[in-house]
Amino acid sequence: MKRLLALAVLVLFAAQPAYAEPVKINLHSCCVTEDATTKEILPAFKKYYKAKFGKDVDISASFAGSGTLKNQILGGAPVQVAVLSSELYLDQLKEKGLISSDWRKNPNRGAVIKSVIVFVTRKGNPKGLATFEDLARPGTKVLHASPDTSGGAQWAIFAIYGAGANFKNLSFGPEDGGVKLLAAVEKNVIAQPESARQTFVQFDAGFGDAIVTYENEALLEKAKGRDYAISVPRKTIETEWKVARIDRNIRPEQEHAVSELIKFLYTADAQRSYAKFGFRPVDRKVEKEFHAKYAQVAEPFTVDDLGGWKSARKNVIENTWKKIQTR
Amino acid sequence: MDSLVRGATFAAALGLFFLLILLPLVSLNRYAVSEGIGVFRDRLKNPDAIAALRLTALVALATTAVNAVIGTTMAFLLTRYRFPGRKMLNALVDIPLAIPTVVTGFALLLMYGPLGPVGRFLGERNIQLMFSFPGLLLGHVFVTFPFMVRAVGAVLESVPRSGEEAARTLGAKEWQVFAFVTIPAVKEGIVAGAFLTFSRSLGEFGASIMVSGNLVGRTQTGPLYIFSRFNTGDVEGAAAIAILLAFASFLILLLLQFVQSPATRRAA
Repeated sequence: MKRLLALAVLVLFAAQPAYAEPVKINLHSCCVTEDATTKEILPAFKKYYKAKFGKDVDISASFAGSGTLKNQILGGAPVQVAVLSSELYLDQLKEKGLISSDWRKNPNRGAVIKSVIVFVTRKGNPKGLATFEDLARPGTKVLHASPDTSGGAQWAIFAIYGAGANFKNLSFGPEDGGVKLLAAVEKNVIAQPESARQTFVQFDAGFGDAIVTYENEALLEKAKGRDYAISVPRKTIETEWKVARIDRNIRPEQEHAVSELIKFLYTADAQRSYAKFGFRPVDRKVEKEFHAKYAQVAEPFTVDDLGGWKSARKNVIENTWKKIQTR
Repeated sequence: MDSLVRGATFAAALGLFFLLILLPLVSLNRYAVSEGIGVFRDRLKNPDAIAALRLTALVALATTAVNAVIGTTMAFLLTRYRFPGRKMLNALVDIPLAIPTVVTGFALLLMYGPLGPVGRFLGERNIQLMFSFPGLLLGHVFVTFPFMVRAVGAVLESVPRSGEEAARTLGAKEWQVFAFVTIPAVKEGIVAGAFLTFSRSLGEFGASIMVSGNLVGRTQTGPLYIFSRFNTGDVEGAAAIAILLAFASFLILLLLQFVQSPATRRAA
């Protein structure tokens, strides 16, 4: 028995490979990208990297709300690449010295996938909810995640505000149409769980008439066989996820794989994988292939129409949404 | 030699306790005041923080009151009567300790939601328990249920029945025996259970985030407030409230040490 044990130990040590170990990198990606990333993109990248450069690369990925991921990275998680739903989080990482490069130099200023904010209603949309104004009707019960913990919820609140706002005149005062609409909808919000995923848990349990969330989440729920209906408002916001390298955590031997991974996310193959899981690709050609899958938004707007991320977070969430909550 | 071993064990236990339990709390403390005591005080004065702390205290009080009644009754049932299924029931009492609290929250959502029969029944009468104070209370009562039962049960086991029997022989009715003999005898168990229930309720997170709705200033409890502050990057704000809750729990548990008699301490 002892001899056997010794042998086992010997084998274990001898099993250390003689050739170079594969490069290991860690990816932190916003929770809604989990299926697309683990099922398609990472396996495809490993194959691509091996075929093109003859080397193995080992990527482990972890998924959570973007705010949580950002905090983990700030706390020292050894992550080399991050895909997050809010540019503010990338700014924070930059301020703390974790990112030294400029992610805006990547294609589309760092945006690697897009979506729009829609709402999901019960089967057949029995209450006929079509616009954000409809969500403000008395007796309508609305769910969205908490903007304190969820990037998606920040987008949802921007979408509601923007649907009522006049972009040429954003005053954020009580006469601002966006503020009025947001206040009216928020009155109907019955719960604000931690993440976009948790809102679906509550919706599945029967709570609420509508969830304000990403189109890709809505499509994913449909793909899972849920009979919910999707309403695409006439005027809503385009959301985007941005990729960045966490420079301080990148060792020289990881450099190549990291930059190749980021480039890979923009390839037609990766964009197609994202599209399969309901995201809107940033690649124009791939977008055409999947065009029929997405609803056309009559009046799309972006966070830039709200004055950019910093201003929108401060004026719409901190100064407007917060006040509505405690009123 | 013996004293050497004892000394070493003592030092090791104390050292490990310091490293594993106290040091994390100390570092929290350091973070809370890292920006100066003025910032710490400002964070505590935030109206959302005050609302969250107030709600936490109210829920903890209500939870303690509810469990004091049903927990004591349950303990009485389990120790004073022999009935089929008693062992099973006894084991079930501790179930809330073993279930992840998020699961508890989800179970309550299913039961009181429009899909559950209870939720449907209430919904038809326009009663909505979830995402409000009653929902939080239901969650906290579930999670803290074992504490009162166990604290009171332990005392009941050690209290001789002779007092109750004497009262019966003197013609006391069953409820009189319970109210005037049994309850005063287990007073200390109820107090101990109340303290444990209260402090556990102060820190409850998993069930709360599911059933409360997490509405800032309305249904957000202290721990949920801490979590959302931490996520927005306001670590000082999170640490300030965390310190306050940790300190409150510590005071309660310390007080418990003084009010417990040797009998209850032995039993607990």
